[in-house]
Amino acid sequence: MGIKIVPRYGKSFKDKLYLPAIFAGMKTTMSHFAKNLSDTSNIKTECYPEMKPQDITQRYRGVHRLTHRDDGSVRCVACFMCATACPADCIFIEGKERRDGIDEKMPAVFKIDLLECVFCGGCVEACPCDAIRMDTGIFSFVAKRRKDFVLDKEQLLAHKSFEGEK
Amino acid sequence: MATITVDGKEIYANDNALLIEELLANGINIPHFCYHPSLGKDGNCRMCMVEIEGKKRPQIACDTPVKDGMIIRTKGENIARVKRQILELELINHPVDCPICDQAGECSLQNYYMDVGLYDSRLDTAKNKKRKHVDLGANVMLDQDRCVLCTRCVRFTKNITKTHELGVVVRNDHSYISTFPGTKLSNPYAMNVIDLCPVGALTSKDFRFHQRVWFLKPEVAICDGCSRGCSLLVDHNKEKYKDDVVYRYRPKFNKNVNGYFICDYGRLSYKKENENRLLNAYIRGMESEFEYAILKIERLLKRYGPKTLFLVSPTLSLEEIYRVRTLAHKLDAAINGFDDNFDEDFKDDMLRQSDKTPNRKTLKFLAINDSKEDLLRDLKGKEFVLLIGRDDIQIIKEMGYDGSIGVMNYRDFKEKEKIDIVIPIVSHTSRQGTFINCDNYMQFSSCEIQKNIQALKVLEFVETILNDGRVTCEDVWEGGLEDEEFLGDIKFTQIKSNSMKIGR
Amino acid sequence: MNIILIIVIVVNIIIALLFSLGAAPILVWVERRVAGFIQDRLGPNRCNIAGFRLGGLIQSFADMLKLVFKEDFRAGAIKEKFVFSIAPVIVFASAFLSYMVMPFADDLVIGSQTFVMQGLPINLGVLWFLAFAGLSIYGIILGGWASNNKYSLLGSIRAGAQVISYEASMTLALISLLITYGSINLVDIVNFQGKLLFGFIPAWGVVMQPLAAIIFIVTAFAEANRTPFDIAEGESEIVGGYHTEYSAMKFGLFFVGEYVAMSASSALIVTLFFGGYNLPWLGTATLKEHFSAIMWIIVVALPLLSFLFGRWIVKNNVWPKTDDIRNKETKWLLRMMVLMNMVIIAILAYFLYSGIGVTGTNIAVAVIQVATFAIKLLLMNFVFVWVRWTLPRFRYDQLQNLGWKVLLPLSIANIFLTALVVVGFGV
Repeated sequence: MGIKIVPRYGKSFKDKLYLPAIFAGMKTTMSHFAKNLSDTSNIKTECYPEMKPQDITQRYRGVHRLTHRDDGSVRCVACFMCATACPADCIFIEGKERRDGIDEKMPAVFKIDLLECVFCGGCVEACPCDAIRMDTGIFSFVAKRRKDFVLDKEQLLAHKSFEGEK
Repeated sequence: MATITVDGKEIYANDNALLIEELLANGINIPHFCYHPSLGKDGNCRMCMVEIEGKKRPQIACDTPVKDGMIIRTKGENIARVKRQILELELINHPVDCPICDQAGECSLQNYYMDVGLYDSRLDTAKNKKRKHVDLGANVMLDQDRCVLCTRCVRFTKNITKTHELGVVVRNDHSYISTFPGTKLSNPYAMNVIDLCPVGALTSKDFRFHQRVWFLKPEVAICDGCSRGCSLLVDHNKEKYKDDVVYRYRPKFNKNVNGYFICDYGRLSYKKENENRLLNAYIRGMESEFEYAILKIERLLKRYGPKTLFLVSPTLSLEEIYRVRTLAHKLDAAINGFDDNFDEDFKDDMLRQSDKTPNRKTLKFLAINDSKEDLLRDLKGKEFVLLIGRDDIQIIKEMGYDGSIGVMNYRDFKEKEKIDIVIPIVSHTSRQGTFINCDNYMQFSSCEIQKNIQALKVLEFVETILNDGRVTCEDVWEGGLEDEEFLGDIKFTQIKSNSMKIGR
Repeated sequence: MNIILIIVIVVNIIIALLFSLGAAPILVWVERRVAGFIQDRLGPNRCNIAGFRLGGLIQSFADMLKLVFKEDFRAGAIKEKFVFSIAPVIVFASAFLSYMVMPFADDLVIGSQTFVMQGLPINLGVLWFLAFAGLSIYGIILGGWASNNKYSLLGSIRAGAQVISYEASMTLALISLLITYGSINLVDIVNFQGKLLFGFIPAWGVVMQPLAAIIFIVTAFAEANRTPFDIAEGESEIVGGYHTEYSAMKFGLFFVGEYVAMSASSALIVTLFFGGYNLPWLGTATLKEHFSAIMWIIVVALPLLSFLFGRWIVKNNVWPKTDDIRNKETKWLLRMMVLMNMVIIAILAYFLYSGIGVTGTNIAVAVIQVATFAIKLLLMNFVFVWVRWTLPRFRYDQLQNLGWKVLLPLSIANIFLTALVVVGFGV
C-alpha cells in the first residue's frame, strides 16, 4: 500500500489573502450570469407543463399498469409476488377463483397506493406473468384526496403503455 | 443400537429402523415425497436416494434398514445428479403454475428444485393434461396435473381412516388420483390429506386463494373443539390496515395426544376466532364504554359479595379457572362449572371425544362442582351470577333463577337486554393458557394473537379486582398454582415446552 | 414655507422611499433572477398580470401579497408577545431610517433657495447611518430571544457577536476615511470625490483609501447579515435562526428589512467610495457648464441603447407556448419604449431649441445625478447578490478570526497610515 502525499493548500500568502480566490470565484459566477443573461436559451430548464419532457424512455418507471391477455382479460393471477417484493407494502391484493376456464385465479381487488409507492420497480421484476408494468410514462399523478391516489384494478387496467399496448 | 457414518459424521441409530427415519431424526435433510412417519415407507417416489458404501447403485433411504457400520453419503456430485434426474422425471408433467398454487411456499417440489434442481427444461413435447380443480368433497380440491403420485393420500384413507375412498387409476404417466365413481371423500379426518400432500395437488377449499402461505405466522395452540385437545398450529396474519385474521388450523405433531392429525371439525373451528365476535360492552342491552362496564362489574361484585355465583366454562384455561376460584374464595362466593356440552354422536375411536369442551378435567382437579345438582344448590340465595367464557343463560333461567346476571364471553349473542352486564373477553387463540385433556395430558397453548378488538383477558379482569399484579400465566403459576397437589412437581417452565401427564 | 420648498421636500421623501421601500421587491427579484442565471436556472418567470411579467418582477409583488394574507401564527410557547411583535419593526425601521441621510444629488439651487437632496435634511451624515445600522441588531436579538426557541436564540446570539466584532472594524475603517475627507457630512464627502486626482483620476474613495474600502465593504456585508456572513440565519444548521418562529408579515418585515439594510449599505458604499451621485470626470459644475452637449449625447444615445435593449427583449422574452398571453408582452414593451423615447427626445429637443435656463439646468442636473446614483446603487446591490451566490457561509470561528485578527488590526493600521500621510504631506 503506497502513501500519497496530498498537497496542502491555504498556507501561502496568496491563499491567506483570500481575495484572489474570491475574485476567481466571482469571475466564474459572472461568466455564467453573463452567458445566461445574453441568451436565455443557454439555460436547459424545461418550462413544464408548457414543454413536456422528451427523455422518457422505455425503462422509465412511471405509474403502474396491469397488462391484458390476448383476449383482453386481466393477466394477473393474484400470486402476491409483487406484494411480497414491495418494500413499501403499498400493493393490496385479494385473490378469487376465476371460473372462465382461462386460468384458475385472478385478483378480486388489486390496489396500489401511489402515496406509499417508492417507484422502485420491484413489483415489475417480481411478476412471473408480466402482468404489472411501469411503462405508462405517467410521471406526475395528481389527485385532490388521499383516497384518489389508491388506484384500483380497473384504473390500473385502463392505463396504456406510452408506446402503445404490446 | 447401531453406529452409522453419514457424510463423515458418526451418528447412533436404532438397529433395523428405517434409514430415512434415523436420518431425519438427526436433522439430516433427505428429500422425500412418499415416505411419511405415520404412513410408513412405500418406495415409489425414489427421491430419498443416498449412497451406501458397498452398494453398486444409490439406494432409497426409506426402504433400507439401518445396519451397524453403514457408511452413507447424502451429498456430493454423484448423488446430486441422481436426485436431479429423479426430480426431472417427477416434474415432467408438472405444470408451472406456482403463482396460482396455494402450496407455493410450503411445497416439497419447490424446495427440492431449489436445492438440487435448477436445470433448464429439456421437454419439447406437450405435457400430459389431466383434470384441474376436481372437488373431491369434504373441502378437498384435487389438481391432477400437480400430483406426483406419492399415494400418501391413498394410503391415508386405506391405513389410517380405513375408509378406502381414494385410489390411483389409469396406468403409467396417465395415472391420477380419484375417488371411486359416484362417491366422495367423506370422513371426519379427510382434510388431513391436504397436509399430507407434499405438492399442491390436494388443497383446501376453505383456505383456497385466501392468503399466500409465506405471509402466515404459525403459532402453537390447543384445539378447543373437544376434550382431546389436539395440538395445533394457528396460521394467522395481520395485513396492512386490517385486523389480525386466523386463516387456518393445522395439526402439530404430538405423539401423546393427536399424533400427526386432527379432525375436520377442529380444523375448521378457526372460524369462530374471526366471526361473530362480541365487540362492545353492554349494560342491560345498551352499548356501554368498556372501562365503565369494568367498573360497573367491580361494583356489582362488591355489592353482592357472598351472594355471587361464578359460573365458569370448561373452555377456560387452568390458570383462568384457578384465578376465578381464588376470587370466589376471597369474596366467599360460590363457583360452579356445570356445562352439558356433550355429543355422543361426535365421539369416534380415533381422536374425537363426546365431551366438546377442552378443559373439563381441570374442574375436577381444582375441585369445582360441575354437576347439575351442584348448580341447583349453589344457585340458592344468590342474587348475581357471573358467567365467564359462556353465554348459556337459559341453563340458570330454566332453574328458576331471576336475579342479576353478568356475561363475559367472546361470542356475540341475542337478547342482551335481559342481562345486566356483558363484557367481551378475548377468544381462545388470543390468550395463553394450560389445558388438561381427557387423558390427563396437560398442554400449554402459547398462541397470543393481538386482535384489534377491545376485549378483556380473564386473568387481567381477576387481577383488577384482586389487585395482586398477577396477569400472565407465569405469574399465576408462581402465585400459588404450582403448589396445587395434583400438579406434583411440574413447573411452568416445563409445561411451556412439553405436554405432560398428570394425576392418576 | 413656500410651494417650491414643499414640492422639493415631498419629492425628496418620495425618492428616498422609492430607493428604500421600492427597492425591496426589485432587489428580491434581482436576487432570484441573478441567482438563477448564476446557477444556470431560470428563476421566477411565470407570474403575470394580463401577460405582463416584467422579467419576473411581478412574482415579488405576488410574494408580498402572499405574506400579507398568510396566517400570522404565534407559537404558544412565546411569552414575550410585545417584544416578539416589536422586533421585526425595529429591524425594518432602523434599516429604513438609516437610508434617510443618503444624498442622491448635489444641493439643488432654485432661485435663492438651496435644498439638501436627501430624505431627512440633517447634517449627522455617516454617524446617523452607524447609529441606526447598530440599532437594527436589537431587533434581531430581541426577536431571537422572544421566540423562546433554542435555534432562534442561537441565531440572535451569533448575530449579536458578529455585529459587535465587525462594527468596530467598520467604524475604524470609516475614521480613516473621515480623516481623508475631513467631514462627516455626506454631501461634502461626495463633492470631495467629484474632484480629480493628478488631473485625470476621479478622486473616489476606493482610489484614495483602497484598504478602507475593502474593510468597509466586507464589514458592510456582515452588518447587513448577508452571505458569507449570514450565520445568524444559518438554515443548514439552526433551521432559520432568529426568524424561525416568525410567519406572515412579521417575517415579511424581517425579510424586507434585510433588503432595505442591504440597499442602505450599498448606498453608503457608493457614497463613500464610488463617488456618490457624481458621474466620473463630470462634477456638478462641469455638468451645468456643458449641459446642452449632455442633452445632445442623450438624444443620440437613448434611441441606440433602446434599440439594443429592444433586440435583447425580442430574443429573450419568449414563452414556450405560442398562444399564451405572456407572448403579447414583448410587443407592448417595445411600443412603450418607443413612446418613452419619443417623449424624452421631444422634451430635450424643445429645451435645445428654446434654451433651458439656470433653474432648469439645476433641476435637470439633479435628475441626472439621481439617475446616476440609482444606477450605481443598483450595481452595488448586484455585487451584494453576486457575492451571495458565489461564496459559501463562514464558519463561526473563521468569522471571528477574520473580524478580530485581520480586519481590526488592518483598520487601525490604516488610520495611522492615513494620519501620517495627512499630517506629513498636509494634504
